[in-house]
Amino acid sequence: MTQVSPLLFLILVPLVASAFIFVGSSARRTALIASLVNLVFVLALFAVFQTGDASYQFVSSTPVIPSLGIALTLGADGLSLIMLLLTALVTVAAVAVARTPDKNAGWFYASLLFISAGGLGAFASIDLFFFYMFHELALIPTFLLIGIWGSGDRQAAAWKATIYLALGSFVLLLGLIGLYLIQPEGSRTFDLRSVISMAGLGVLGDGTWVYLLLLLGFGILVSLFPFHTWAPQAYASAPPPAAMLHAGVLKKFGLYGLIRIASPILPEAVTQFANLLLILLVGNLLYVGYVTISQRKLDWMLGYSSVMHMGYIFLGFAALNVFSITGASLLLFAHGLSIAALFALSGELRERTGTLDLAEFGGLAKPMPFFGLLFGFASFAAIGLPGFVGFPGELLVFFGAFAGGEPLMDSVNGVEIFALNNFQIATVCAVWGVVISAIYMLRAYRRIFFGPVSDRWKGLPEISGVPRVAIVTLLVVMLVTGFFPNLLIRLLASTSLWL
Amino acid sequence: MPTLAHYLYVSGALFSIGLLGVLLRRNILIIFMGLELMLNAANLSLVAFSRFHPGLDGLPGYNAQVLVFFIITVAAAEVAVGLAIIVALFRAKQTVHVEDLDTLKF
Amino acid sequence: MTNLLIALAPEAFLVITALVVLGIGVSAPKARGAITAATLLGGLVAAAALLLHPVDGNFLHGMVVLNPLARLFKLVLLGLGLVSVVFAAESFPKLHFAEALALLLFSMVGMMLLAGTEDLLMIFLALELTSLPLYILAAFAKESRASAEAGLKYFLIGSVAAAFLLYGLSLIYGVAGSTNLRVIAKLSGDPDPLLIAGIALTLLGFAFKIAVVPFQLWAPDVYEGAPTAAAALIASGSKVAGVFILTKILTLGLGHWTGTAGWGQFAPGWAPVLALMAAASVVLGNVAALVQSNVKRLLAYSAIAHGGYLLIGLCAADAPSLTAVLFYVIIYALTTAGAFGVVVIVEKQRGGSHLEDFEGLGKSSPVLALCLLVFLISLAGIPPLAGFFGKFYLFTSALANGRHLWLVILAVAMNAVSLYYYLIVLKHALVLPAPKETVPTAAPASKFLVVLLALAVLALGLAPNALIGPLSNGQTVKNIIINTLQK
Repeated sequence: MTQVSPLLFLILVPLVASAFIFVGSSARRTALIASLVNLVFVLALFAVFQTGDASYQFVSSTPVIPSLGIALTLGADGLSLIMLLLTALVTVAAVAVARTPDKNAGWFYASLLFISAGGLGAFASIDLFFFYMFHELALIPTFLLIGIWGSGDRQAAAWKATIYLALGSFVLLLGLIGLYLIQPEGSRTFDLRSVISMAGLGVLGDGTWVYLLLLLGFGILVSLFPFHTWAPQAYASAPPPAAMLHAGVLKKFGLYGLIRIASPILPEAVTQFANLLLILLVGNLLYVGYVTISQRKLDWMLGYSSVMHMGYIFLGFAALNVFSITGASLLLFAHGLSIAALFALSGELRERTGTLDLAEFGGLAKPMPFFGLLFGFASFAAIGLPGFVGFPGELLVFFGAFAGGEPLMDSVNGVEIFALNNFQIATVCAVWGVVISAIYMLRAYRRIFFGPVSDRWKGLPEISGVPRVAIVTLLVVMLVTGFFPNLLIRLLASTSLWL
Repeated sequence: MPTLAHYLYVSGALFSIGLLGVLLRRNILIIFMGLELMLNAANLSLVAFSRFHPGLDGLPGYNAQVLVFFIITVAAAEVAVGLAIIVALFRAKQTVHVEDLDTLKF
Repeated sequence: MTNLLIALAPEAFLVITALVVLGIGVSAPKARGAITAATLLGGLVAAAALLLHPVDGNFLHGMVVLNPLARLFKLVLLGLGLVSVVFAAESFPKLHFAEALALLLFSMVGMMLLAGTEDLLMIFLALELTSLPLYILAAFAKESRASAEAGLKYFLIGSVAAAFLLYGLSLIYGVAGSTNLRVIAKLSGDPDPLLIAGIALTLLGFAFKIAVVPFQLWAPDVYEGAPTAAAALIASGSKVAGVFILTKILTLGLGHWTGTAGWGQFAPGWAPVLALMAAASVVLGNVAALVQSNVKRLLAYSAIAHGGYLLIGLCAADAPSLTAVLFYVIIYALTTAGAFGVVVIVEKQRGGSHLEDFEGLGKSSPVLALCLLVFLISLAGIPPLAGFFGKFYLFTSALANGRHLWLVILAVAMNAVSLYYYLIVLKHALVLPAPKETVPTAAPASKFLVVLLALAVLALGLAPNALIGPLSNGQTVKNIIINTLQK
C-alpha cells in the first residue's frame, strides 16, 4: 500500500515539536500545542474508525529491510486505538501539569514528547520490530527525566530503573527474535498479522521458550513480582510528568504486548505456564499490596500501588478468555488515567508543601476543598469503585478469571462437589486486592485531607489554571467511560475475539 | 639427508625460543631480538616448504621465496620503527626495561 | 595492465598525496592548514577515482582483487582515514605535522590494499603497511611519556602478533602449496595437523588486529596514550580492515574447516576457537569497562567487547551472518570515530579525557552533547540508532544458524551491562554541572564532522537497508565465501 497512514502523523507530531524546541521555539507552549494536536487527532480517528471491522485500519506499510521481513507497518484496531487515546490524554495532562525547570527546559519538554512519541509508535505498530523499537525510543528520555530533574536519591533510582528496563527489553528482544525464528524458514517476518495467521495454520515451531522469554521481558517492564523493585523508587524520584507518562502509558506496553502477541500466537504456552503466572500475580496483588499499606510516603505508596494494580491485568491476561481480556484491556486504560491523575495530584501537593510524608499532613480539605475533591475522585477511580472505568474492567476480569481454567471436581464422601481451581483461587485473592487498595487509598485520603488542620497548611493555595483543567479532564473521561463502558467495549469486542 | 620435518623442527624451535625471549626478558632490546627470531623462524619454514613442495613444473614454489624477501625487508622496516620508538621512550623515561613502563595503568 | 593501474589508482593517489604532503612539510612546516587541505584533497581525488572509474577483476593472480564489496570497504576505509585526518589537526603536536599526516595516508593505503586482495603474501605486506605507520603515530606526541609508552606497547604486542600471523600463514602455505586463498580453499578432507596449527596461529595474530582476547592488552593503553586522532584510526579503520580480511581468510580460504561451537555439539574447526575468544572478550571488555574513569580507556574496553560481538557473527559463518558482521563493523567504526571526535574536542577544551572533563558539556556545547548521546546510545544498542540495528541483525542471524544460543545469550546479558557504563559517561556529560569555566575553542571542522557522523549513525538506524542492500544484494558477500557456506 502506498498511502501514508494518519498514524505516522501522530508519531511525527511530538518528534517535530521537539525539533522545534531545539531550534528555539518556546518549550512549554510548543509541547502543549503538539500534545493537544495529537489528542484532537486521536479523537478524529475515533470518529472515522469502523467499529464493526475486526481488522486493522489506517494501515500503511513501508518496507525497511525486505530481506529480514521488516517493514514500518502502522495500523490500529480497537485495542490500539484505546491505547492511543490513553497516550494522547496522559501526554496532554503531563505537559499541562509540568513545571518548567530552571535549566535545560528544552531537553525536559523534548524528553516528555519523546516518551509520548515512543508510546504512540509502539501502540500503532503492527510490525514487531518497530513495536519494540518505539518502546526503546522512550527509554532513554525516561532515564534522563529521572536522573536530571528527579528528586530525592534520583541517581540511584535512575540507575536502577535503567538497568532493570534495559535488561527487560533485551530479554524481550531475544523473545521477539525467537518468535521470528520459530517461523518456517523462507516466510519469516515481523508482521504481527502474518505471524498470527501462521499460528492459526499451525506452522510455527515450539514456542514454549519464546513465551518464557516474552513473559520475563515484558514482566520486568511491567514490574511483575518479583521484578518490581525498580518501579516505586523510580516513580517516587521522577518528576511528576515523567511518572505520569511512564506509569500511565509506557508501563502498559508490556501488558499490551502480552495481550497482543502471546495470547493469539502462543495460547498453549500461556495455558501451560498459567500456574506460574498466577503465583507471581498473586505476589503482585497481596505481597506488594501489603507493602503498599505499610508505606509512609505518598509517592512511594502510589508507586507500589501502580505495581500492585498490574496484578489484575495479568490475571485477565492469564485467564485468556473474551471476558478477562476485555476487562484487562479496559483496566489498561483505567489504570493509566487514574495513576496519571494521582501522580499529577501528588506532584501538585509536593509543590505546595515540600513534603509527601503522610504523617505531616492533615485537614488539607479546609484550605483546598477542590483539590481534596479531585484527590478523592482519583482514589475512588484507582480502587475501581462503580462509576469509574476501573469498575467494569475489574468486574470483567474477575468474571473472566473465575471462569478460567478447567473446572475442578472433588468428591467428599462419594458426593461430587465443585472445588476451586487455581484461577478461582487467584480471583479470590484479587478481590482481596480490591480491599487492600481501598485500605491504603482511603487511609491516605483521610490522613491528608481530614482531621485537624495544622497552622503550617492553612494558607495553601487551591489548585487552579491549566493543571486543574487537565486533571478534571482525566477524571471526566474516567467517569464517562465508567458509566458508558460500551463506548470502549464495542471497540474491543472485535479485537479480543481473535483468540 | 635432512627432510622437511627436520627443517620444521628447527623452525618451530626458533619460534619458541623467540617467543620465550619475548615473554621472559625484561630488556626491550633483547625482546626485540626475540621478535626477530620469530620472524626468521617463519622465513625458514617458508623456504623449507618451497624447497620440498615443487610445483607441477618440478621447480620450487617461488612464491614463498619471494615472500621471504619481502619479510626480510619488512623486518628491517620494523626494526627501524621499533628502535625509533625505543629511542623516543628512552628520551622520555631514561629506561629500556619493560617494568618501568607504568605511566598507563589499569 | 592499464586496468591494474586503474584498479590501484586510489592507492596511488594517496601515496602521491603523502609525498606531496611531506614536500609541503619540508618547505613550509608551519602551514598546517595547507597540509590538512592537501591531504583531504588527495583523499577526495582517491575517492573520486574509486567511485567514478570502477573496475572489477582479478589482477596478478589474486594479489589485487576488486569487486563491489572490496570497493565498498575501500571507500569506507578511505572515509575513516580522512575523518582521522580532520581530527589530527586538533590532536597532533604542531611539530612534524606533515609527517604525521603522511603516515596516516600510508596506513590508509595499507588498509585499502588489505581490502582488495586474496593472497597471503599481499595480506601480510598490507597488514604491515597498515601497522608500521600506526606504531609511529601512537608514539607521535614525543613530549608525552604516555604516548611513547603507548607506541612501544603497541609496537611490541603488534610485532609479536605479526610474527604469530606470519608463522601461521607459512604453515597454511606449507600445507596448501599456494598463497592464494582460492587455491587454499581447494584443500578439503581432514585437516593436516600443520594446518590446524597454522589456523590457530593466524587467529591469534588477528586477535591483535581487532583487539580481542588474548591479544587485547594493548588496546586500553594505546587508546589512552596515543594522540586521539591516531587512536580513532586504530579503533575504526584498522579494525574494519582487520575484520574484513579475517572474514575473507576464514570463509574463503579456510571455509572447509568451520567446525561448530554449539552447546553440546562441538566439532573441531575455527569456529570453536573464535567462540571462546568471543565469549572471553565480551565478558572481559564489558566488565572491565565498568570501572574506567578515562573515556578513551572506556572506549577501548568497549572496543574489546564489540570485537567479541563481531566474532559471534563470524562463528555462525553463513551468508546472512557475514553480511551482519560486515554491516556491524562499518557501523561500529563510524560510531567509534564519532565518539573519538567528541573526545578530541573535549580534550582540546579541557586538556583531558577523564569523566570529569566531560562535566557540563550539555550546557557549554549542547550539539556536541547530543552527538555524544547518539554515539554512546548507538554503541549500547538502543534504537533507533544504527548500533541497535547492527546488534539486532547480528544476533538474529547468529541465532538463525541454530547453534549459538549460549553465545548470544551471553552477549545480550553483557550488552545490558554495557548500557551502564555508557550512561555513566552521559551522566557526566549531561547531568553533572561543570566544575570550572571552560573556554570553548573553535574546532569547526571537527565539530562539523562529528555532527555528520552522528547524522549518519541516525540515518543508518532509520534506513539500515541503505547499507545492507549493497552488502547483501547479488553476489557481494558471496564473493568472499566458499560455496559450501552459502545458504
